[in-house]
Amino acid sequence: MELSIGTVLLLILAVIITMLYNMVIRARLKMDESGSTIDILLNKRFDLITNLVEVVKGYTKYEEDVLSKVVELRNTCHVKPNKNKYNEGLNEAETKLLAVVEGYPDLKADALYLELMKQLSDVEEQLQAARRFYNANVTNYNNRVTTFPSALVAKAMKAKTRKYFAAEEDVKANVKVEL
Amino acid sequence: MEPNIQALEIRRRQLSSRVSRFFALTGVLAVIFLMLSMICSSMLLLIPFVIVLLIALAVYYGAINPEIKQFKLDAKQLLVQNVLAEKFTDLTYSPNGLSQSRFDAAELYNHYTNYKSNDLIRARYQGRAFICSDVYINEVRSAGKTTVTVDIFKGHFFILDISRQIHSLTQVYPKVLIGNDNHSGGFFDDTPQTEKVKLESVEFNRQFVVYSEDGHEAFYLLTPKVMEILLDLKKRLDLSVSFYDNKLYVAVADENDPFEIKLHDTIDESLLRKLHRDCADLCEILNLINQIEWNT
Repeated sequence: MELSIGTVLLLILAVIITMLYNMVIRARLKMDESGSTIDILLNKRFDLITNLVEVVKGYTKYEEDVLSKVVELRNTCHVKPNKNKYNEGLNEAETKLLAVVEGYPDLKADALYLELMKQLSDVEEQLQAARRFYNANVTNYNNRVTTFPSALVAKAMKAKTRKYFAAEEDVKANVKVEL
Repeated sequence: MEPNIQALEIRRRQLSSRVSRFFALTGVLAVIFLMLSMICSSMLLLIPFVIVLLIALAVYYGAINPEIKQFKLDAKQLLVQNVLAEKFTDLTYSPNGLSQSRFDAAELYNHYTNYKSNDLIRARYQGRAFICSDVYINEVRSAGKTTVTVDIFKGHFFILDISRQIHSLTQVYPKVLIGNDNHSGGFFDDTPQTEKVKLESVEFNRQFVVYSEDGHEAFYLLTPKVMEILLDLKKRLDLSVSFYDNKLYVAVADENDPFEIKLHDTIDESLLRKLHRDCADLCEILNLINQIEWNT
């Protein structure tokens, strides 16, 4: 059966549209996958901070507000997940916790404390990498959604651009050095 | 000079003299028979000429060449080892080179035909353990009637331990115009399946191409600091890097073959100075690539 030129062109068009559709879907899946890695690492970080709080409790008259703030964050996150706010909250909790630890040299030499700090440091490096990887995938996805010709397919799919995982506000602010 | 080194020099002179006499005798006999056949216009006299050549080849490859090889190995074992011991601790040196399986474990170069290696060094430099060997690999490519041998890599190959836990393969190659067709991960490849990863640094992506089994781990290993180091190193070295199995593998291209001792090189202060220079060059490369390991 001979195919007319029109049929051939339609077939080619169908193949192209399928390829573009798959590109957008793949970009979105990759982005979502890397986003879930951030969630896993944030939860791991939360668990480590919680464990650190327990270790600190054994050495100090511990300030209750830090633990309650950490628990409050977790509850808030379950209700309305927001990676940026969750991360900022954990940063704040960790900073307060480390400020308490500074006053207790014995605690800083504790083996369990050191092990937890090592794990925390590794998780934070993993988190940095996960954020960078996520943002790279967001860039790729946003490119697919906004650039021609995949933008046409993305519009039909009602795909929208996504936001990046933002840097911490204190990192973006100018650093003040007081001597 | 030490007595051992002096004895080595005496052995070298005797061997060199024997080799020269052998070639001279073979040459004279071959010329005589060749000229006789030309003068007498007799093809039959070419037969002794051919026989002389065949016997000479058999004697050379059967007796003389192995002796030359053994001399070179012994010379390296003595001289190179002494030079390296001045700079490195916990040193193990072997003139024979790195095993092919150890090289393949890096998953840096998977498509090659021939493998050669020499000068395997296991030691500590500034407290850090490393393994280094000179490696040469090439690929024989056939296209119809023509066969071409293409050099894939010639230079120094380093293996260093890193403290980070690595669960997958990440490869970093310098970007070349034609493309990095020696990376692993083709559809029919039984090597790890890798994907191209684009980092956030435009300059880094312009200079290097990265493949990884796990994009997240590629970002974990290639921090902004490490990318900066690699960009800086690229100005001075032609290097490829892989992270695999908790190890850092670095291939530094270098056309020179360091620590080479030829039969006709006199074993004297000048040769020792050359070996010291080769060692100093190696230390300089180690200083540079250790920056990758320190920041990983």
